[in-house]
Amino acid sequence: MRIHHYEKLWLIIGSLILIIFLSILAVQTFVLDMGPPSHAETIDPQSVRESELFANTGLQEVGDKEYEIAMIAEMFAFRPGDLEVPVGSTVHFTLASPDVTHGFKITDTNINVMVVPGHISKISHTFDESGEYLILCNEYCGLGHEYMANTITVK
Amino acid sequence: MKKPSRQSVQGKGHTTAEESSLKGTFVSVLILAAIMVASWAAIMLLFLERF
Repeated sequence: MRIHHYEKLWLIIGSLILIIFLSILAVQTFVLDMGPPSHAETIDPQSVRESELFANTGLQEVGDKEYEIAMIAEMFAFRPGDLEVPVGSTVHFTLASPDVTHGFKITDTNINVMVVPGHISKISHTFDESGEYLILCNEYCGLGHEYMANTITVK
Repeated sequence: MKKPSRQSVQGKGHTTAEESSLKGTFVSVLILAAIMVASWAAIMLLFLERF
């Protein structure tokens, strides 16, 4: 089969671009651990509010400037509410929904999680800059969707 | 003068298409590639900036 010279060239360029993109993605995921929020663990949505994991809903210091928090995203609030952490803190979020699918988006960060009922989502972020970060639900979840907003104060 | 038959005209046209220059197509493909690479890089930079 005869392939035109230019056709050969753009096939090579296209393949190279694809290889480069996928290699960067692979390095990010497997070497730098920048994978998407984990949906590996499951939970019965009806037992979220009573479960041990989400019973102690508050910031827990697990190390030097390292915090853990289990949050429930429900119609139409995040529990617990507003948070406050010192600058440079790493916060590990564990999220679940007892009702419908919610979003968990923290503005100006890479945190953007879909909280699907039945699944436990985990994501971490280091807050290096002080300020007030808005937490939003960005999955339409019902009539009170726009009231689902909290803040994380970093100072 | 004898007019060329329809068949011979088609035959000639076919040969020309095969040997036509693909320079314009090649440039279009490169422009498309550049747009894709630029968008990808911009999103990647935004991600790293917020990391």
